[in-house]
Amino acid sequence: MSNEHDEEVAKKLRANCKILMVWGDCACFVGICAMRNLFPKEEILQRYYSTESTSKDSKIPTSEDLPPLTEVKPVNQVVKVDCYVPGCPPSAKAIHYALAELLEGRIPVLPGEIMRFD
Amino acid sequence: MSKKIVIEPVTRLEGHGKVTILLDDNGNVDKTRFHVTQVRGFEKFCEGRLFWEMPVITPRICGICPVSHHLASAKAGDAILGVKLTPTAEKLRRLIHMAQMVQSHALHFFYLASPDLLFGMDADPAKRNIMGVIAEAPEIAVKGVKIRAFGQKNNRDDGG
Repeated sequence: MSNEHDEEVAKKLRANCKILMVWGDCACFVGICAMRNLFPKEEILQRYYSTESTSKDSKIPTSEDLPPLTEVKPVNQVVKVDCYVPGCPPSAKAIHYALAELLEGRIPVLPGEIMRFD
Repeated sequence: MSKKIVIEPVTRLEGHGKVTILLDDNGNVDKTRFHVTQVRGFEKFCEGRLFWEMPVITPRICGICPVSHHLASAKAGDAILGVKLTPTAEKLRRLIHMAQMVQSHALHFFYLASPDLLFGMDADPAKRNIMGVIAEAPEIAVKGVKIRAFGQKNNRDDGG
C-alpha cells in the first residue's frame, strides 16, 4: 500500500470477496517497501528526477493522474485481512499449504516450519 | 468535448502502470501518456548501506528478474573489492542468468501474451487472461508452468 490508488484497490477487493488473503512480505507486513518510509517523499522523488540518469529537465512530475504517495503500509492497516502467506517470495510449500487449506474450506494459518527468512 | 480514456492496470507488463489518452473536441487523439504510478525508492534507500547487502536487497526489485539484479550487484561488489572471478564461478553465474531468461520469457509468452494470441485482441477481457487459457487450452498453460519450473529449479539448485 504505497499510494492512494493502492488503498482504493484494497478497499474494492475487500468489498467484493469473502476471504482476503495477502501474499508475500510486502503485503503482509510491508517488507522491503518499508524502507521508503525512512525518507521524506520529496527526497525520494528528488533522487528519481534530478540525477544523472533521469529526466533532462529534472522536474518532478505533477499530474492529477498520478496517485499521491502515502506512508507505506501493510494491507491490514487499510482493510481487514483473513489470512497471511508471508515470504519473499512465499515458498512453494507455503503456497501449497495455503491453497490446500482453502480448498478444504479452512482459513490457512501457516505453521512456523514452512516459513523461512528469505 | 474533450474526453479522457484511462487504461488501468496495464496487464501485459510486470509492474504497475497506467495509460491516459486525451481526446480533443473532434474525438481524435490529442495526447497519450504512460504513467509509472509506483515508486518504491530503491535508488534512495540503498544509499549509505553496506555494499554486501545489495545482492540481498536488489533482487526484491523484481520477482521475475531477481537474478539479473543479484548478479549486477554482485558484479558491483566484485569491482569495489577488485576481485576476479574463478572460471567456475563465472560459468555458474552465466548458467543461472540463462535459466532466468528461460523462465522469464516463458512467463511473458505463456502467461501474458498467449491469451491475446489464442483468443484474439478483441476477445472479452474477462476471459482474455491466463485463467481463460487454463480453462480453454490447459495443455498450453501447463507447458508454460513446466518451462518456468525448469528455469526456476535450475536457479534454485545452482543459485542457492
